Amino acid sequence: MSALSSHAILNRLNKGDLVISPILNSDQIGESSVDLRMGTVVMVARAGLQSHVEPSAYLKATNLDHHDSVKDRKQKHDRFDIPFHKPFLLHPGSLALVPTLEWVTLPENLQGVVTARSSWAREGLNIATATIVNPNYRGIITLELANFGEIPIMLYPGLRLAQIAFYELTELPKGYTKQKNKPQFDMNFEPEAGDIAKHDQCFIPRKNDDTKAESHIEIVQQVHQPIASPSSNLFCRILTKFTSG
Amino acid sequence: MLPKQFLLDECKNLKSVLQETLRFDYGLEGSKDFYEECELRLTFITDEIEQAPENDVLNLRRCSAQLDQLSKLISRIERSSISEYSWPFVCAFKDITQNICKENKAISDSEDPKIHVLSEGGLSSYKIYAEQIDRIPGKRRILTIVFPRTLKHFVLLHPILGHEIGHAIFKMTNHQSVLASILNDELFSPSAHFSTQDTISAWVFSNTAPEAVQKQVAFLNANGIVEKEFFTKYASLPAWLEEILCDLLGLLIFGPSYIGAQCNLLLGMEPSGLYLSKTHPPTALRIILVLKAAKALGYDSIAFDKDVASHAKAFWDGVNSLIQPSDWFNVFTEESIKNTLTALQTYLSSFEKTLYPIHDKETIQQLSRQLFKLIPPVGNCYNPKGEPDCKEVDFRHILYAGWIASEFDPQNLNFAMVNRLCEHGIMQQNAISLFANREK
Repeated sequence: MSALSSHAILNRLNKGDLVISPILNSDQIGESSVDLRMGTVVMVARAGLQSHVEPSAYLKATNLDHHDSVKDRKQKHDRFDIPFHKPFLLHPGSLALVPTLEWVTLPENLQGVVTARSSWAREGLNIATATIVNPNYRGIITLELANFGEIPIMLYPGLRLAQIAFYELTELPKGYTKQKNKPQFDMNFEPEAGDIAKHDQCFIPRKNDDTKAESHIEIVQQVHQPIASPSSNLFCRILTKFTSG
Repeated sequence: MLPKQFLLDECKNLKSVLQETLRFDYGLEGSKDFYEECELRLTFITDEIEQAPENDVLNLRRCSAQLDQLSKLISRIERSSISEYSWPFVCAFKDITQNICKENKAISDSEDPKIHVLSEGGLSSYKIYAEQIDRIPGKRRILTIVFPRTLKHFVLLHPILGHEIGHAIFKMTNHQSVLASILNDELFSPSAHFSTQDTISAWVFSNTAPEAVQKQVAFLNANGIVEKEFFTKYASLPAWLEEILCDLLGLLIFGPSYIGAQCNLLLGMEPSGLYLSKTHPPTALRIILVLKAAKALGYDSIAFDKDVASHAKAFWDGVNSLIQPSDWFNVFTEESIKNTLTALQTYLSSFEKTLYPIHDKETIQQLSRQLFKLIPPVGNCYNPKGEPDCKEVDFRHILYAGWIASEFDPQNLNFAMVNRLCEHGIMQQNAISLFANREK
């Protein structure tokens, strides 16, 4: 696996198999990376509603249509639209999910690696995770911003906060297809929460209140059953018995 | 409590609401200007009430109505929430409306109209509440743009606001008489069916009308409304004519994307297109008129390269097939439509950015091809040396490319996805413009 130089990146961009759109000027392209700008949405983890992040909560109610109080599984985020020239204040110790301004499309043989720009890192701004962008990914890149400094940092959409470097994959597995290898968060327009329990259910103990939550869902489903269901007929029969004395 | 004291108390209530809400900065462009304008209006109304004698019922009634309007306006501004509408679209839309909605009365730029935005339920909620400057006790006009909440990201349907901005323009004294005389001289007078109130009524009641129209006429007859009374007891003639004007203005402001939006929204709400409404002429007439106007403007005549041409053709064929061709609705001649458009274009061209900048083949092709590849459409280009060289693109061209792309591969690139991509492209284009103009 070797990193792409600026020349190789430009070649790929011109050919169109790698897309980073828009690149506002050549200064955005470094020796072996491209700077990424802050987009116009911020999602901030809401403090106070949950005592901790609980993987077992992700095993509850998989139906996304259920009310949030029933699902009760994700770390809650407040979403803010931040147009250009409007500030966002990132407080010390807080985490914010921010999309890049750029839309990125990677071909099947390239992987992206995202890091903070060193000048911002020196101010205490850290891009916490999601350093790897998988081949075939299409969409914005989510930057997980954390302020490691002692004073708040004012951020504005359009600022160059991160950089992405590209590595060529040396060998593609046999039977590889784009459809089969669709990356998580494909075609994202803004940050989205992931599923931390995915494929790891066997390592997460079930808690008593999981069954409570499931029974609540059953009650909700029963209430919404049509009037002719056996339970409602039974209720009608009991009611008739009562009223007929 | 006497009415005058009651109204003075309501002024105090409104003052405290103003203090609790607009005094704090929020919204897309802050709330300072709105706060100052509303405070000015409230001071004016309060003074009027204080000076009015207790028995001056006419004056007190007028002040009460003004207080009511101001109270509604403040609560509308307060309810405006940026997360409920597409702010990238609004930013671009404001650019094209700011100049045309400026009042002659305004002395300086600080008195330009202010625009605020909110969303409501229902497809029919697209609206622009436009104040008439001579009827408000203030110094600047406030326009309220309303979007349907469900269509937050559906920017391809938002060009219908071109029609609504037409109403806002028509309410302004400096535009009304010019626009009315253009329509009257160039479009209505030469038409055999639309030259007078009587000829329109005769057209509606004619036995050559489509069966569905004749059934409605029979219903009107059964309810005692005869031909001569159509516009006195049932429909409003000024409203019908204003709608026709606004359709043409919408087309001239937004270009081809206006047609996509109008056809889909109007027929979505009234699928037959044949209904005789009190306030709007039949949808079929309006759609046939804008399609003929688009042809006259040459919107559909650009020869794109093969990969884009087939989808552009599918778009134009699609909108042309939505309405059954009926000569009965074809009431305006091509020549009169052309003359009307030329006169309107000449008038609108004095207002910067208002008219749709006629598209060129290369721009629309580049934007469409980006969409075909599921990339937000923007002016992201590379110069002959292969270096990045972004260019400014008008958001109305993005919308036209969006309509073309909506015909590309509906299974993998559905209408909702095209809209999200276009909205994202408009947001990115905003960044390109800011960067391009950084040193100007």
